[in-house]
Amino acid sequence: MFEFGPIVRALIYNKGRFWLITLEIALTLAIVVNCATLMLGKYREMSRPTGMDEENILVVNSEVIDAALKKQAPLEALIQEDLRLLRGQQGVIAATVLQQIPLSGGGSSTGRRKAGSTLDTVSTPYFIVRDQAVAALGVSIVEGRDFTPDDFPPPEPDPDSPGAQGKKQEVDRFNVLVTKHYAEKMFPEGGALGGQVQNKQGSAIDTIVGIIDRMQCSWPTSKVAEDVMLYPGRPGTDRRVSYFVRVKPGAVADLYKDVEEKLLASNGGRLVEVKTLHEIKMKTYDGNAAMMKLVAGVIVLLFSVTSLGIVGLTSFSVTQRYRQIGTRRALGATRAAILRYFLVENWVVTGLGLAIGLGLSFGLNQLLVTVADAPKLEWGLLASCLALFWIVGLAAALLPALRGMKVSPVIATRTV
Amino acid sequence: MLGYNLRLALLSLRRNPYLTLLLVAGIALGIGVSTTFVTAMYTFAGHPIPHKEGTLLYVEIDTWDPQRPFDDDHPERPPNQMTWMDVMALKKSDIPLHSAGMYKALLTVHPASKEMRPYRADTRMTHGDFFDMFDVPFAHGSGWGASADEGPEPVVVLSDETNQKLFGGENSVGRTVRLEERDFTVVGVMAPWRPIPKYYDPHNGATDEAEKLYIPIRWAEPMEIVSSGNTSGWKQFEGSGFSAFLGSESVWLQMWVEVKNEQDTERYKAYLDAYATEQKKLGRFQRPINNRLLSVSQWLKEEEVVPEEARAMLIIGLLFLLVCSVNLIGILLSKFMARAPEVSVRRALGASRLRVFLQHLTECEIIGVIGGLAGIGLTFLGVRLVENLFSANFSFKVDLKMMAVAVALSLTSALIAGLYPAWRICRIQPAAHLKVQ
Repeated sequence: MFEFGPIVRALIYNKGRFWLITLEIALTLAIVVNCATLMLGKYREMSRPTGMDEENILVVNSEVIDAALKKQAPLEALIQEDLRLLRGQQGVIAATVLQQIPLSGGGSSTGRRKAGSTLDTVSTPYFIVRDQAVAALGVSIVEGRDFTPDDFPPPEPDPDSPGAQGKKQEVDRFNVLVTKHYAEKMFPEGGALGGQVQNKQGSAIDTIVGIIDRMQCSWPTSKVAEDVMLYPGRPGTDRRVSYFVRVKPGAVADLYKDVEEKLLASNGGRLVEVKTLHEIKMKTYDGNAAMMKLVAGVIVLLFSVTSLGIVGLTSFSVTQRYRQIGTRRALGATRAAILRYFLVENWVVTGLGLAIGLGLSFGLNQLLVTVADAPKLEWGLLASCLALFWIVGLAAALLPALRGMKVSPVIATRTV
Repeated sequence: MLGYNLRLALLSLRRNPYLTLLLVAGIALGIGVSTTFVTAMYTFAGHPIPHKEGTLLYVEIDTWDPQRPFDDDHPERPPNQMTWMDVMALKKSDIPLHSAGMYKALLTVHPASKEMRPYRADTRMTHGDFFDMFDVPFAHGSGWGASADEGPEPVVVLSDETNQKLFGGENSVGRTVRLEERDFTVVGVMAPWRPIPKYYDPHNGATDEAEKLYIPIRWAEPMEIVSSGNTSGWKQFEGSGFSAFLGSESVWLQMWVEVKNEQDTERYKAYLDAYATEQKKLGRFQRPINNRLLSVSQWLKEEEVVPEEARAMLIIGLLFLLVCSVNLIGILLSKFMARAPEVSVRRALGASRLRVFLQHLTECEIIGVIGGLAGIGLTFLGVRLVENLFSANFSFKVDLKMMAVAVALSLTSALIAGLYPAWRICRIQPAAHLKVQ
């Protein structure tokens, strides 16, 4: 078939050049495949669903700085006023307060184990929330129920009022919501709904009254990314409070602009800062996005260097063989046959390079997994890279091969 | 002979300027990419304060839960931060030359100028020894003394940036700055200072900038200033309020000491162990005694400040250079072999193989030198690109050492790339080429 025999013999005769292209292709494949794996890993990490309606949630931080206002602490009245104001705005679906900000990289976590068991406690990221939390975060409950007003503790009594002392209970009991991922982790044999978890000392016991389909915690790249417990409470009693306001699609931009002014108008003496939850998420993933661009740049540069190399070497091999081409043409080979010869030669070289590159790819991946905790290679990605290389290799060889095709048979007779 | 080789090489490079440009560009690109990543790695993994290695020590004592170790993956390690009680107690020792406890906080600054709104600034709560210990450069004034630590006195050290912002960059020593509801007197203004990594507290953001304000750590008590860094706890507080937090077993502070010599390190270690034994009698420290003094490099290694990405990119960068070198071999081979007739004439006229070989290597090394210099230029470009891409708030260290690395890499890869083509050209049969001419 074709001129397979002569091609292979010619390659063996021209060992040096042939090995160079093979080596270059093999190395390039190994690097590109691993770069693509790194990119894909970063992309997947940041595009996992967060479970929350992040694009339509405004996170509004309010920090009291006025000394007089600060003395009024706890700021329960101010928070209630702000919530009323926020809930009354155009397009607002719900508003709540969270004590920490999901996806932000900073949060709280505690240890919990199945109530009554002697297991080790499991790291449990949690958020203390106010009413409307489920609606304001846009998470969906798949089993059980949302919080009811009864689940929330009453406002802290004035410590000076009679009877406030010694009223503290021995055991803190709360009804909580957890994510499905967490429920399955804590109750692998089922029965999470209505089940109880406790801290090590048994001084806090939580009853699971509802299960959330999905929600990411404050550390979306950690092992506990999808483990979340929502506590009913009254967060924001300190000077700082973070409101979560979910609005109907399309209404974000308006509220984004006005909310600072409106809050300051209702109550000055504080700093107000507004962001969407999506902006907070993207800031956490800054490094991922930058890394993807950087790796993409390296891939592009590498492709250009390697294709230039292939063009150069094929070009040289065509030039060197002008006389042979002329001879073959004079002996009756068609132009198509000449073109085919160079393309098939290129295919053989590229093919061998890719075969070796496959091995190198796995070797490099192993190295990267060990020293840099990179993700493992995937066959699908590998196959697409192989196909891409074959095409690029072919395209790079096409130009010189076309030039070789145009060699006139007269060349063969000229200098003999 | 070297002069002759150089002349021939330059002639050859000038004869085909486009090919020369391609050769130089190829190697410069390889050097640019690889040196950029070497620089990134060097910045993260380099020693931030080499002359204090072994004398500047991070203090760790095991105050953790008797039931389980602080770090399940490394059960032999004590907690990587300290409790308030222990920092305050250990500060009393006079064995070290300097010692400082510290933590990061967010304070509200109320600028005197009515046009500026109040804002929150990263603040380091610490002891006065901080500044001498970490070689902090001062533009005006200095740090504060031990009496200011005890009082505590309302004194503040400003970063260069804060001084620009609040006082337009003039000498502000003696002026006041309002933090929360209290006036602090400026005693020192730092010159620009950017330790990379932020080795005195890598646990709370290894690539973060140094703090904007520095005040005596004991202000934590009257002003109830909480940490804005990581806090870990295992035991419930006894009592309520801020004093319960300060008296708790939660770890949230860092502690550093500087000693004169190894002897003092041993003495301080013995002091720590004695302290732990004493605390055991009081019912604390229920784990086996496990106190450690880590040098800066040991500490940074344990805190894993080198990003995994930097490591991956270093490997990829070096492989990129390898591809560029292989590419170089190919082009050089073509270039040299095209010159076969000329070399044949030289060989026929009596030039030895060695001379032909060396002449071609000389040509490669010239390409290496030019490529290396161009590569340094590309490295500057690449480093800026990476900094912008990662919106890094610091600069990578492209110093003389890195430039030397660039040129050395370039010369080596040009040499290796040139060996095979030069060997091939010196072994051609002159007869075969002379015949057809």
